Amino acid sequence: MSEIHSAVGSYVVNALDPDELEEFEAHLAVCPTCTREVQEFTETAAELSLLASATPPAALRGSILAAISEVRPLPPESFGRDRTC
Amino acid sequence: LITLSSRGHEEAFAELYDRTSQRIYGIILRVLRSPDHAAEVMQEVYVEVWRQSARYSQGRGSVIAWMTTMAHRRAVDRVRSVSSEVARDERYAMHGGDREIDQVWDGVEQRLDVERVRKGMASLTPIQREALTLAYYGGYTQSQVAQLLKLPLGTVKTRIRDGLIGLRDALGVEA
Repeated sequence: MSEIHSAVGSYVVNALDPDELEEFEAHLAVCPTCTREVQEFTETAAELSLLASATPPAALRGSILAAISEVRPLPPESFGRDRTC
Repeated sequence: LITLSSRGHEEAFAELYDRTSQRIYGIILRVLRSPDHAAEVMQEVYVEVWRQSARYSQGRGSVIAWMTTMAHRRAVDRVRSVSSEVARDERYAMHGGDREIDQVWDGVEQRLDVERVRKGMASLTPIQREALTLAYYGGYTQSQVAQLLKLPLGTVKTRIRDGLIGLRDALGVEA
């Protein structure tokens, strides 16, 4: 396993430092193994959020729903682009 | 729901909010530890989910994973950009991050899915669990985790990855 490959876990939990993040993303673009692992780990890390569950302030719901009513959803992409967030 | 949202259905989006808000708010609050910051990031995340709803692609994974990833990343970005970061790090460094780990185990509803994740975490080695906990729930970079646990960076990197492999296998997650 190459040195850079081992960064896949830290990448998924947003723990890479900026220089290594850049290096890993360049590697990810050409490594199907890492791409698959990123997908699996992303689903896995999402499960971790269950242990942190907390009820948001009730007022937040109203302010978010008011905010989105003034924002237009973007149209679907006409070309492939990765990682929108 | 995400598809309906992408077509501008606000009621569908409200239902999506109701189904996901505890997990999304929970992870943001856990990382930020400030209800004020958490509310701001929460609003940013849901507005972005609404904006990007047509660009969510099933081929890239589940809706909840897409959303928690976005929430976690934005919470971590906020932690790393706020000026109180130094104070926060010093405070938590003094406790060696132990408190972080305890918090994760307290006060969570005893639901089956929660229990599964809890068991998965318990199946990891202590170092895997600590490294993963500090990185995910604590929002620390791997170098900060290495400092907190007094371990070489390479070891921390491997433990975080091994922890995710162990958890993935324990939960039977497939891409």
